[in-house]
Amino acid sequence: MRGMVLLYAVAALLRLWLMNSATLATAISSRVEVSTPLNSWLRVKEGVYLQSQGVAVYSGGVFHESPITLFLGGIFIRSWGWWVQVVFITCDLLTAFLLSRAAMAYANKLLGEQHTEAPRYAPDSRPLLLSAASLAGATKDVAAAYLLCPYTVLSCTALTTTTLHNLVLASLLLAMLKGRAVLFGALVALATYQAVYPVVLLVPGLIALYQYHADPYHHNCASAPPLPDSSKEVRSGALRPALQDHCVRILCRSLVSFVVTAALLLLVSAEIAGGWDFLEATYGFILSAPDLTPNIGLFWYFFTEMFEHFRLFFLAVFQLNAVIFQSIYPCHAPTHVTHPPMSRTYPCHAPFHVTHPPMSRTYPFLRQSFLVGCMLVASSVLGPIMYNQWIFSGAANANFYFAVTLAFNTAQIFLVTDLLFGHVKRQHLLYNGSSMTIEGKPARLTLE
Amino acid sequence: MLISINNMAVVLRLTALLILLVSFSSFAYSTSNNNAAIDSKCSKETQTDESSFSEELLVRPLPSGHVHSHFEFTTKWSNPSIKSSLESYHDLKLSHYDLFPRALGEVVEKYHVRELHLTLTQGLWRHHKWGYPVADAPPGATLWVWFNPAPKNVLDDAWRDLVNALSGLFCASLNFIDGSNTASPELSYRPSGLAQPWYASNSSYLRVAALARENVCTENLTPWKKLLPCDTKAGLASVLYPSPLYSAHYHSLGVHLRPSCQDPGACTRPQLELVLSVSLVQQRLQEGRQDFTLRGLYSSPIFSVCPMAYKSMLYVDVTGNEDGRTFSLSPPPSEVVTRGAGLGSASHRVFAVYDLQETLSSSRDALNVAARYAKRHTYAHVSGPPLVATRYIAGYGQEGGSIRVVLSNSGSEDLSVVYLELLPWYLRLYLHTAHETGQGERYLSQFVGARDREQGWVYEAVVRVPARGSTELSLPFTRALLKWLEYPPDANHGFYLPAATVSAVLPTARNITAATAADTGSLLDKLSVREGEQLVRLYTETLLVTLPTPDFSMPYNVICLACTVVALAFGPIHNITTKRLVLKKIQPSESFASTVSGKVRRLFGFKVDVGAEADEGAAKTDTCAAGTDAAPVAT
Repeated sequence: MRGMVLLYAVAALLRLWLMNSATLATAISSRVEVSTPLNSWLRVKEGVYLQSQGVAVYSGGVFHESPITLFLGGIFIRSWGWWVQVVFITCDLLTAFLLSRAAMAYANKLLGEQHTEAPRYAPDSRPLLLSAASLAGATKDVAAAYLLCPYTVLSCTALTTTTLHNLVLASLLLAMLKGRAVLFGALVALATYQAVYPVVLLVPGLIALYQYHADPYHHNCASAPPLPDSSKEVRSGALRPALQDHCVRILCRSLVSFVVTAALLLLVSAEIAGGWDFLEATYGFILSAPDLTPNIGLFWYFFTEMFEHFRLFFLAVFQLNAVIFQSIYPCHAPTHVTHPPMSRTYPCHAPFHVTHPPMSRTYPFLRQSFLVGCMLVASSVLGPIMYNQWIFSGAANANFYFAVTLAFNTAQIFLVTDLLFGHVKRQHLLYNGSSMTIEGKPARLTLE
Repeated sequence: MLISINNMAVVLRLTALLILLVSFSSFAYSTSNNNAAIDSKCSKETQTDESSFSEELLVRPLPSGHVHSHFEFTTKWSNPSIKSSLESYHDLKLSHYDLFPRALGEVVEKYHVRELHLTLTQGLWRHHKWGYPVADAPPGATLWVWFNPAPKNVLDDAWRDLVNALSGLFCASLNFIDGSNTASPELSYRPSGLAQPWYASNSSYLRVAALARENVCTENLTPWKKLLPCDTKAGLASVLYPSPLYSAHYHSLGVHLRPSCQDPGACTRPQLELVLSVSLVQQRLQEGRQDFTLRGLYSSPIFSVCPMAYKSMLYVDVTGNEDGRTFSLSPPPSEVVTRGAGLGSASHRVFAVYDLQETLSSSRDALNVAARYAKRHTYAHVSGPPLVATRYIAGYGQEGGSIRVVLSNSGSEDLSVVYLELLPWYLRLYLHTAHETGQGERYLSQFVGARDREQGWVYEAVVRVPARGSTELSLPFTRALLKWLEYPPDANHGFYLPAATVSAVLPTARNITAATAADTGSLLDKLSVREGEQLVRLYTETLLVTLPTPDFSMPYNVICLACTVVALAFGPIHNITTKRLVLKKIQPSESFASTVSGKVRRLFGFKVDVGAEADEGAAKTDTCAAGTDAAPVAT
């Protein structure tokens, strides 16, 4: 317990120190890896200033945050200027806390699953099984990883609104794992309102909610209809109609909550922004990627060099890819809400690292962890160097920086596919044992 | 504190209004009379079709050793149809062209134009050395037009067509003017001709655009000359030879069309006035003296006058040289005209006037006015005009920077200055830092945020410049990366930013060269400035910014590489999520090639990633040993 308090205190002090060290803070907040057109605090301040001058913020091309961010940002900048840093640090600490709670919930879920599924596991899979003790350690690691990860620290130091977005994502995750359907719907709506893409989380989230409520393990204290002797039925795959109805009703509640919250947010926004211009300036901006300022993603250079008549086609392909990437992946392993930079129009470092740690059980199956680690470190170090060579000293050109972002994205893809494959492989080994032979003859694992 | 800031803002807002009013004041009286004119239209109507043409040249030695020449060709046209369309703000209906150039007239008629100002300039007017010009013009092309009242979309279309028509007419690249570099500023460009307040204060009828990179050369001069009734065959225009023109330090072609009034003072009869002007600044020191002759300046003396001109005049500014001690003129002028409120007053001006019609008819020789200086020119500190603006780019690298403007006021009174900046969209301005520091000192009168590829920035602020002091304005910006085909040829040369416009009302007429009012009919009228407050409009330097450039040589490589990475993500994820892991017997018959390639791969320690493995359709063996060995860690 004392360790955790110390961890949070260190994390908070680290952020506070960085924010108040004049040169570092400005250097960090101007980095393209951290601040993008979508999340930079500079643009929030500009938007607030313009609004105070009576200029239509959304008719220009600088401000792309949601109107509610504009409203809240305005309140903070005008009235509580000194508290902005505290708010951001608190948000980050809260995110870490929610993530560790989510990890704990997920650990319980995994243990529950393991408990129900244990009879079907192969006899030699014992070493693979999870234990409560190791998972408890992992949940602490989650908080530590989030709080001390340099990317999140930098992102918070630069006061990017990604910090707020991460908070919503973390609470969304927790709501999902705790089975709070209404809250989950509302939070997905909020996250979507902030940055369009999280709308795809609705699908894996609803699946997870369904599983949660259909699982008798969770009904010890739930308000579900009593299920006498239901565990056998569930295991045999035949869900009782009453339970099924109950689950469907919960999902409907979640969906309604999503729709109502989204509608409310949009209406309030239209009221704040004084019209619907903001839709084009925020969501249109995310989807059509008009700003080609360098960042760590793939979009900027690709669309800089794209031939104009193919632009729309490739934009559609890339965005579709983003949707597939972000929806199918969490569908398969519901807690892994990742937003790899490659699939976003204006990515920054922070969001990627929100939820990887809960996957510790698949770490032993990673085959490219060294390669990926090296690639990530190298590209993180080389990125700023190449950027400086190109933009400031003129000794390199755009290709150098582009190469680094390519390596970075490739590393992320390797990591994601590796984790996913590790998960699949672990499942296979649990059920089939580690024997690599069929009837005494050598065999191999293939995807079919 | 807050209250005082609010108060200052109110004060500045008021000064903004004041500037508006003063800029009207030159014709405010005329508009009030204009109302009277409309009332008494029936009683007093001139039914004649009158047009007149005059040609004038001002030669002004500058204290820096340069000589400024300003040619002005004025065509005036009035008839009942013009009068009624000018008074009712309807499109002009021009017919029976006489002296007015038909090529321009048809364009003006068709595109709802009421007032048109086009300048094509090469070189920078150096205010601190040369004082204020007759009409200031920034480097490059500048076009501002007041249209007759019409809905916005009609005017947008008219503007688009007009710039294309003018582009053809003057052989200039005005067709590069589009929505992204057009603006309608509130304060800086008021109508210079007749306009009633309801019209003059509605900037939605105004369109302003500037092209800083436009080069001006003979191909612009030739079509410009063709608008003159005598072309270059006779008159003052016949001395406009390209070589002295384009070797000058500064030269500016101007076309100014506006409604003015025929009768000075009363201003009851509106007319159409077209002023074609050329301004030159040259330096021709001879043996260290600032001596100049017309032949030396234009490589030809004046041989003839345009027979269609009712007036052909040459003025030499001799203010401060009334006794001829500094320089003497030969031949002596026809008369010496003194204007202003007497010697020592701020508006005191003296001009040596040559009536060319008279001079050239009395003698058979060409007129070659020569000024002979008594002493060698000494380079000394030239006391500049009261308000000077300097603009430059601060910062390094191609990421950000800031536009700095220093407005200096050497006068003895505080000035409220309207500063207008029209910037392209690829700079992203951040105003809050600029205005955080000088709260109360500046008031943002208009701001239009840029939209990528559609709309440029319009930043118009009223800034207070203290007496005998200066104010610095800093506009921080970041630079955008453009699409590779949006860069001009020689992309690394950079992009020119148009000059900023600085407008102010100066308390005295001391440094003013010329003032345009609704009833100023000739160049001499303009030069005879009135006592009291004067509006000046200055232009700052144009700026050159370099934007980060992509590599133009490898679009295909970039497209291929980025697509590969995307495919690298899609393939494995699709495979892993849609397929199941199963154990399969190893087929013993492995081909030679695959064994070799497998060995080579193992030799380099590179295991093909899972996606590739899946893509290959189960070609790769996975021994799984690593997984099971490491597994106990998880327990």
